[in-house]
Amino acid sequence: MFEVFVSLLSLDMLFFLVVGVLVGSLIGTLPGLTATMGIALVVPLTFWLEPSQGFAMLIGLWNSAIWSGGISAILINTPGTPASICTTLDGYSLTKQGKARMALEINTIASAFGGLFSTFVLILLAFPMSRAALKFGSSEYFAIGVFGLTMMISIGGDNIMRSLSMGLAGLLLATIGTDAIVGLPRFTFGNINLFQGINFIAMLIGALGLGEVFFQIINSSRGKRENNSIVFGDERVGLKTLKSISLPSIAAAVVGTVIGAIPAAGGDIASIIIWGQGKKFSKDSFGKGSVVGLAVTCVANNAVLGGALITMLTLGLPGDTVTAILIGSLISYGIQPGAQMFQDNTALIYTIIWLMIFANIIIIVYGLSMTKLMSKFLSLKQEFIWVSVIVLSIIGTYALQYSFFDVGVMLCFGVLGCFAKYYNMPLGPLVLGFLLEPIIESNFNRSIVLSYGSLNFLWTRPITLVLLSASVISFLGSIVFSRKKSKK
Amino acid sequence: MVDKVINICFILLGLLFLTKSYPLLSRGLGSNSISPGFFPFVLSILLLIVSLISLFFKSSVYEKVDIKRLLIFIVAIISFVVLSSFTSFFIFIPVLVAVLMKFFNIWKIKSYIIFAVAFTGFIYLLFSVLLKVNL
Repeated sequence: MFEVFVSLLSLDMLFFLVVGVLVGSLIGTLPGLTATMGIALVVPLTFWLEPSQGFAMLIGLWNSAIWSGGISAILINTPGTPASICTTLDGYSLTKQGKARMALEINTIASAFGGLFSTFVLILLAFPMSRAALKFGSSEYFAIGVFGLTMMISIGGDNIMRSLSMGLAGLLLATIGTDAIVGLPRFTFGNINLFQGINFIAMLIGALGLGEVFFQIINSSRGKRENNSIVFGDERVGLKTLKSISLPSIAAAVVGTVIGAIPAAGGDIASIIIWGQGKKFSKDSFGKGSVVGLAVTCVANNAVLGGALITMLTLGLPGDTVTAILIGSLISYGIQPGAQMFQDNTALIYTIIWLMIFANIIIIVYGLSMTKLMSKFLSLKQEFIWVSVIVLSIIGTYALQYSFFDVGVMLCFGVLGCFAKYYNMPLGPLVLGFLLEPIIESNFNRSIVLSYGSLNFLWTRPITLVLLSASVISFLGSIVFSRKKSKK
Repeated sequence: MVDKVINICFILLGLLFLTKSYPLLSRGLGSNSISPGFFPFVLSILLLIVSLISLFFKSSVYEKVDIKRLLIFIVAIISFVVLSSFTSFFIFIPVLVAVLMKFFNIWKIKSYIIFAVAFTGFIYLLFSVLLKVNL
């Protein structure tokens, strides 16, 4: 691990990490540009770099975008990313009280603490978990895939049936291309471009990047950003404030990390749960400018990242759309995330861990010294950002394989992503279904062969049975919950 | 109404995969293995069932989409991609920027020149110089 630390101190690695943090801070600060979108746009650029360099950029961007999503939430009451929805509640109240500077400092310190805490948990748990996961067979991996997808469907939106349809559509779209077992082309319609299947990155850039821009363009007349008359104030974070937020922050970090490790549960869910529970138990007046309320949501947002990495690295299972892209990126490098990665690519695991630590340290330094300057991002005209995203989406997709077919796929998914957002069709299950299909199908097939054509592996293997039962329970539970909610 | 249209789209998708996967069902490697058509066949049946059930659910009300605005925009982008495929992206980036600036009502010749030059330069530096991508 020390050798990896030394290699990270090289100029090029730090350069890519800092670039990632800077780009992430721009993306996170600007409302409408999400961490997922940023990562989707940057991924094509990383294919020309070494895996560790590419991951330096992506990890820096991811941590920074989630942290800086709190800046616009605090200053203009608009969350920069979905994860910072709850940051608006106390953050903006503090701004209205003339304490924006203090709120921004709490956001930086708490976010970095959350990120570092969850990385510490990642170090503690990842290796033992990977050793346990090495004992998993194909039936367990099949069940893990089903469980991950079911979790995403269960919490993917208000309409469970719609989430399920999106998940199934994602699974079906992933079957396009040459079949892995027999080597037979499936659903290619004779098109040679489809023999390798739909390009995952092109799909992501379209659905999550361009689709978001299309959506904003057709909604552009409905809301304008304002950042006039922000009073930053002179009050800063002192020892007394740090003391008051320390214990709740540790609790938030623990819960955030655990929620992050659950497939499909992201920063928005973590911060809503933490803020809601905090309001119940804290003496502070949450929602009216409570520093504790602000700190716990910021801690939870970034603590989720380390938790999501635990699931991603040890089981090869994406916790959310960002980790889905990271997995896609690893696969493109020829690395299959999962327990085997701890045997074959231990150096990359250590690199990712160190990158998480370095990224959060850079965030503290950058955040505490430059936040006021970063608020200037909010005055950027969104139209120029749209133009930049559109051109970058097209060129980034083309550069993947010099393929205009991929550009066409990206545009189609851009339109689909726009309509999906407009009509409340969650894209998470679609993306996750697409990514998990090869895991689910190949492990299901392998399990069938190993059990001589029988389906008894579904109930004779305890872990498989537990995971599949949990999938059924979570799915049925979410249907009951949504029916109760609609009756109310 | 919109929800019904969405569910019909899912049904059509399910039917497409169902009909195309059916001939693949007999292409397995042996009695213990699964044919390449099995998984998509089961998935398409599930999608059909879910979408058919959803057809009977109450539809939500949505705001109308400004299709015209979106269409003009997509046509501009497709034209950019098609024209670039015959020549080079660098020739048409300034053209696309001009069209989009007009479209977004933010056209000012000074802003255009600064943005178009800076952005095209950025793309050139990033892709052609740094990443050695032939655009």
